[in-house]
Amino acid sequence: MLCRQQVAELAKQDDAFTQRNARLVVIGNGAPDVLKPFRKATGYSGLLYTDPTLGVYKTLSLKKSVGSLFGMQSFKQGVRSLKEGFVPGGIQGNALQQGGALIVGTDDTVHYFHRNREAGDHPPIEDMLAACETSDILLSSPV
Amino acid sequence: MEINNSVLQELGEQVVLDEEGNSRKVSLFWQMERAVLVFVRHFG
Repeated sequence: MLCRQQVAELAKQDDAFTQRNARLVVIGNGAPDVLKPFRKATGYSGLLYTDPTLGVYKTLSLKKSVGSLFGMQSFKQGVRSLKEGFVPGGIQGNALQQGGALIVGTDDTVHYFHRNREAGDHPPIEDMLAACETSDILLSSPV
Repeated sequence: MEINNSVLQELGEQVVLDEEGNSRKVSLFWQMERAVLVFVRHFG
């Protein structure tokens, strides 16, 4: 349930991003009918979309591998577990897809990019908030 | 891998779906305001 936790945390920070003149957009993968239940589970009320084709993940080269699922430290244990017949429930091809975060300004400036190296390696919210504090137009007054 | 203009362009061309199945081009997110795009592993 790592992703629900991550987005539940983000849901609390939605205002913090808006205050910094930024818009949080959560994008996942799978069919659109998983979006409503996900909203309920996380309490997230912001922009929420899905990319069933995984086009965004491929474009950003977000990792997709068994190695990144378990993390190199526990990789050997992971392989051992698989050999012993333990398959984490519900893991399918797309569940091996890792995530990331990208912050883009209106002038196409990339202010932040994080590529998750393994499960649980989420982009720190503080870093993302800090990346929203740089101005790309000299209209915002200092906080 | 750097996020250069061509990667950003390609990303912008991708289409995502909302809860109703309506499609939206990704580039629209940062057209009017700074967009914080968080890509989650899966919704499960």
